[in-house]
Amino acid sequence: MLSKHALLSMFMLLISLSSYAAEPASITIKSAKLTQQQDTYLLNAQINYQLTAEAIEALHHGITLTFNVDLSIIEPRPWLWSKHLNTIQLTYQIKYHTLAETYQVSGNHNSTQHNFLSLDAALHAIGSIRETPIHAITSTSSITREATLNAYLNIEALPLPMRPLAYFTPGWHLQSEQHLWPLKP
Amino acid sequence: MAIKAIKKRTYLLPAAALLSLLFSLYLMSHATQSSSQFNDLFSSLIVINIIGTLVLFGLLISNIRQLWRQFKSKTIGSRITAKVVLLFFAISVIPTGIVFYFSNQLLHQSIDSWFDAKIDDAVQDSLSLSRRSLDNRTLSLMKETRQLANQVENESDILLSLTLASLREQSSASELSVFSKQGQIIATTNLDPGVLIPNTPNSEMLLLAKQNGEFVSLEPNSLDGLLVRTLLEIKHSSPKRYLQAIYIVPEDLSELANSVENAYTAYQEFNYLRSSLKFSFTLTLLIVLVFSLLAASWAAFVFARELIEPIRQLVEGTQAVAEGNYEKKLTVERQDELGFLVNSFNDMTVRIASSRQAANKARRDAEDQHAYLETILSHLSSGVLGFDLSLRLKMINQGAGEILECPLSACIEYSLTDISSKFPALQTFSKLLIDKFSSASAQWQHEFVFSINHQNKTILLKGAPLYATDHSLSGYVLIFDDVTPIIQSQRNAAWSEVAQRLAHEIKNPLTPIQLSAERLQRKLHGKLDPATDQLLSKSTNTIIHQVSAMKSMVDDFSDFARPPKPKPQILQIGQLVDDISSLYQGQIKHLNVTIEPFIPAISADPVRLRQVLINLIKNAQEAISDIDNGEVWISVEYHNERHSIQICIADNGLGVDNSILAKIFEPYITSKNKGTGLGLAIVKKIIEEHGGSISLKPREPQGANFIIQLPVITDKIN
Repeated sequence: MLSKHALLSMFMLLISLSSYAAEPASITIKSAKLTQQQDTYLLNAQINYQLTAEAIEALHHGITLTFNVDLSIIEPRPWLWSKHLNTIQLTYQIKYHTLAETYQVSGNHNSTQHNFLSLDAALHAIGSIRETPIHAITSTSSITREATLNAYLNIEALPLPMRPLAYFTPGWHLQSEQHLWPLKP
Repeated sequence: MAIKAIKKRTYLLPAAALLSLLFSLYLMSHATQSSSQFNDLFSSLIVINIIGTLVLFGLLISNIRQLWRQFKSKTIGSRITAKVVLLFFAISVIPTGIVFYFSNQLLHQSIDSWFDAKIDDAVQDSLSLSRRSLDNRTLSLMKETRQLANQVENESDILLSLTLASLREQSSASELSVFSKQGQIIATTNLDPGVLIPNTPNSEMLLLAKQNGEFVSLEPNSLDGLLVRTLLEIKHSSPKRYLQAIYIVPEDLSELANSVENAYTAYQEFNYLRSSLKFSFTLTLLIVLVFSLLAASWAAFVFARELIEPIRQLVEGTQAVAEGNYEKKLTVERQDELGFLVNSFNDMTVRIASSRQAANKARRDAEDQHAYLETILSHLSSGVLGFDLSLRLKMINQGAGEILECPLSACIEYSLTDISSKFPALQTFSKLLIDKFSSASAQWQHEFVFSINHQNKTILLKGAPLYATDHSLSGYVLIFDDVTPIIQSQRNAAWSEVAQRLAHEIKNPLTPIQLSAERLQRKLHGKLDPATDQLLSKSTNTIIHQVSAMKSMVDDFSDFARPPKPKPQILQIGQLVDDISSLYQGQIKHLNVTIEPFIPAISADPVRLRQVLINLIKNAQEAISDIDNGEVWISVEYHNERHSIQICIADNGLGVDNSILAKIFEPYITSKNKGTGLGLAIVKKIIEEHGGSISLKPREPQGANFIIQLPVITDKIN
């Protein structure tokens, strides 16, 4: 059976392939690095989020925006497609608190919630990944591995009525280009 | 007509897909409810339903194309299918379109009705009220923080923790912390002793505090409560220190504020999602509408195929029957009226087939009967002719052609007038038939004598009308027999009787007459005067000669009447002809003898045949005696097809007068000045005794040709 993501990808391909091609990346991965401390890998990345007008408007109308950062460890193969060894997803949510007039940022990897007075500060906060431990990755010296990082706005996390329209609206297609770097053992 | 029949298909798979799609639609509609467990699947369900609808659409397009091709090629059932599909589509599109329109309208109106300017204002006001209330509290807490900061102005970093703890107990703050200019924690104290790390301000807050000397903010905490963060510069501190006080907003106030916040946010969200909500519902409804229409159209195809299947079978069956295939059986799979119709068709074909069998049997019987009659008629020696009411020849048997010596079988459908013009010899015959059939309504009989091929024939005609089964006159039939041989034999018998009497009555007194004349001559010779004696001698000689001639004549009669019994033996007729002709080689100047090399032997009496040949050659010799360049031809041939030997003796004499040609073989018929007239009669009698026949044909330009046919019968001698 087709997975949910596969179906969504097909849908996006079917409907808005052209819009995807035309839309410049609004999320930029400035840097990404995996450092090893003993047996644990720590992710350090700097991602620049720039929201579109549609996303900002939705945020100010109480819509929670969810950003996913997908870290994949792949094994490149010369004649075949790369083998996916691990995929770790970091999720960040940003929400506007009307009464406090602050932007609340939370992530799935820690339970703390941070409040920011400005949107830029909030976006900077979610874009700054510092020493985040990635326990799923184990160290090995036998194979050559690469790491890829993708950051994107999760449309499926939007309220249900928005989703179909969001797929049709280029302003909601916030996605970074894949950042790839070799993973040293 | 090339018939591409619409085949029956298995609809199990499409039906299962249809049901799955229907279930998916149900899930999608269920997913639109915010509390549904299928909420997360909404987009996937939309994709599945759109793909399913597209597949259904493709299926329908394929069906329509197939139907179009069938329609163009005039396939059986394509018109009905097209009508049913159009009807289904028309029936489904109107109600579903109406339902769609009004549902959509109702949905849009309902969504719009949720939002009202007054409610909007009220929600906004409640938020403002909450803000103002919290602002007052924030200001008072800021004031309290300032007082606390004044108390730690000159406090050293070492004792700061103790001081802060003391101040926290005196104040309403839940947490007090002192930070350096860089945001490092100098000292902290918390109501909860378990909290070791303070709620540090972020760089933005610290920056504002540096710029403005103080910072205050209302923040939601992680426990759905509210807290007030105050951050201000501690005066006269060196290096610069910043005091942060965290105040927990009372629970009841927090709940109220959160309630307002949540209500406002929810309202704003709903307001913002209004157009998206309309779009989603419209999209869902549209998919349901399109799906329903496509499903209805597809169902129409299924229904139409099911409906026309028996009709198609009936058409095929009718065509098969029209082509003569009465064994065609249609499969009955339905119990409705169409099934009854198919059953009736099957019954009809069974009945037609049995009737056809009966008709075929009757036809075969009739044909057998006809063949039987044909066989009988063809083997009849009598001639049979059939005519229609306009006296056109409809039927002729072999005997008729042989008797009339005309190929009348080629004259079928000819009228009697046409036949007489084609065969002039049958002119009188045709005229007689026209007269008889036209005048006589009942059966008639007539003896008719006519001449054909220089022969007189006597035929006995019997005519009768033919009646159809409804007793109406349908034609005429003529049955006739050649009675010439019978008449001939009767005549021969009469002549034999006459000859026998003559021989008996005349021959007896001839001998005494001859003896008396001879005695008179012998007794009176020399006793009378010379003149009388000479007279006596002359008279008695005359008597003796005449009596002798009369005796000879009577002998001929006797031979004719009572011929000697034939003594047949194997005879090479060619050799016999050669022997006899050699006797005349010196007497006849031009005698041409032609004998085929391989003439089979026959069984015959050589003495009698010799008599025949001598008689005929002598006749020929006499015929050419008075003319110059007289010539006689004798030929012997074997006719394999008739299995007979033909002997021709021809001359170029004066020939035989036409008036006696037909009667030349009868006694006392002769063209010569002398002779008894019995020669040819005896010849004919001998030939007939040998099973053969003899005929006389005029020879062109002049002369006569006697033709003898002798059958090659050799078993007689065995």
